[in-house]
Amino acid sequence: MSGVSGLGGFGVSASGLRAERMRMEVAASNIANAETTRGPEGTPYRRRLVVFSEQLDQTLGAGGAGRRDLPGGVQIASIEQDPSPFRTVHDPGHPDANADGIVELPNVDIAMEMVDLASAARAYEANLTALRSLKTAAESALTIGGNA
Amino acid sequence: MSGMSGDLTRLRSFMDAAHLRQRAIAGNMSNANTPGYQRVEVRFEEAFRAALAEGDAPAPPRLEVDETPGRPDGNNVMLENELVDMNDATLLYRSLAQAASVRAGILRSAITGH
Repeated sequence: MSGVSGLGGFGVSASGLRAERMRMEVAASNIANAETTRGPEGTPYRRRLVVFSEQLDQTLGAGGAGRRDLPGGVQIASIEQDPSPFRTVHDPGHPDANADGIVELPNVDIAMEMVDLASAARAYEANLTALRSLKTAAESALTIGGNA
Repeated sequence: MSGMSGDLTRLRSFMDAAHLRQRAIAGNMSNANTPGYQRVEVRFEEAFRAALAEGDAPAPPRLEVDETPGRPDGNNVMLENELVDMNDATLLYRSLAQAASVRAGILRSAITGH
């Protein structure tokens, strides 16, 4: 997973980019389905959540005398469904209304999704900056012993 | 371990330590949204300072877990701090690479006489 040995370490930042992009995609899907009253199971759409977990880098464990291994990046542990109750509105004319005229709507809160989207975008940029820093350092190492 | 090539060996282990720190910071940043993740620090300055004073080989860098409390989800990564640390580590690495380059150049002059 961890690219070229010695130089690099780009895999760590790449895993962060992948994970944060997935979070943005899931938030976008939640927003797109904020009014979907009929999903594949006949129930309203349930909000999806991305769960991250840490990836350990065993290859670098011997690199230092310490209490643990270096973080090897992040991985998507699972994409879960939010079990919180659906929103309900009274709309007897709606084709999915029940006998009392109540319609169940997805448990998506647009404001919450927007916050999540902004936080994911910020984290994505941070990972990109880390990647650039690693690249700058690797390039400077390649100039050692050049015909300067 | 003395003289030109000894200097280069020492610079190399210093560069390795700076690179390890960069990787740790990249790992912290990629885990900025992982619940329960505690940030990792790479320490080596004290060991290198002592090694320079004593004139022997530096101890390997230490990985330490930062256990200060963070957000409610147990994560204590602050992206801003990591970005600042990353800039520091990158500048350190680049200046070491520059120093190694100069040393290598002097060594080459000594060998070739140009």
